Amino acid sequence: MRTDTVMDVLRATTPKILEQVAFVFAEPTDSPEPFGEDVRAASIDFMGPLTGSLHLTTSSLCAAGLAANLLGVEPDDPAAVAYGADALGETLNILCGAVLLELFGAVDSNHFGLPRVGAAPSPDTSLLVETVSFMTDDGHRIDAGAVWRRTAP
Amino acid sequence: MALRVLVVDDSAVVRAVVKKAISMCGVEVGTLYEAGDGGAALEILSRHEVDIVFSDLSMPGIDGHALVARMAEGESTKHIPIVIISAAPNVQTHLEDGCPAAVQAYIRKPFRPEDFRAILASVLPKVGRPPHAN
Repeated sequence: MRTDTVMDVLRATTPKILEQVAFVFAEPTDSPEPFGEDVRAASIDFMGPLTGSLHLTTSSLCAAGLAANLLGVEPDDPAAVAYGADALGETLNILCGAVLLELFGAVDSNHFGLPRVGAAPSPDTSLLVETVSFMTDDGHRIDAGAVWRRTAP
Repeated sequence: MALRVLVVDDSAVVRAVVKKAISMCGVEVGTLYEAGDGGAALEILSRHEVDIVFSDLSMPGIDGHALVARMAEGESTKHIPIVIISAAPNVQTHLEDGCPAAVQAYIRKPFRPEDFRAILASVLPKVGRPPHAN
């Protein structure tokens, strides 16, 4: 499997999932704005023909926006703020399933774990093979990244 | 009698969205229970009568697979229809490969509210319920 195949799938699938899950419209960008200090990072491990992890990183404000759209409330609603991390993790969970489905189809050998969400970038961010940055239509940056290796047959 | 529903997912946001989707199906929902994992679901099932369970698969503690197995073993729970909701790309294999008969259908995330309407229309008549309130 070529590296650019995985990243091509991630680049194409992330905006679709953001739109389907949370009505967030995003486009890839080669010149993303720097993140502020209040960053949320989600990661999820997957196993199967490939083993690795997927990552989503964005601001707390954007994560709250995801929750707001899912819950049908305003972004400054206390529920949206409270469930921002939950919404980011669930979005990554769905993205992981969609990426694996796109790469391998509905094979039974693909499994993935539970999403983890932290206030800071994941410790293994330095290991990311590649990251795709997106800008949402309301000006938020969302990074989708992946690190993986081919599993021995 | 209004439908008694149990929604099991470790994401509170997903539980809220599922509840909203079910409420949009035209089904008269009486009590809508929530559980964050299989253990909490089994606790609810031990105390309350439930007509249908919507459950995620990947959860901490007792996950969806174990919940389905435990419900299949319970005299009072083995006939409750279960609808699996999961982002797993292979979710349909749980229906095809030796899954307890109570698992009636699956919904792959991301889902649409219409998915629930179709599932309820299919499942509810099997348990003697009309698919719609009117």
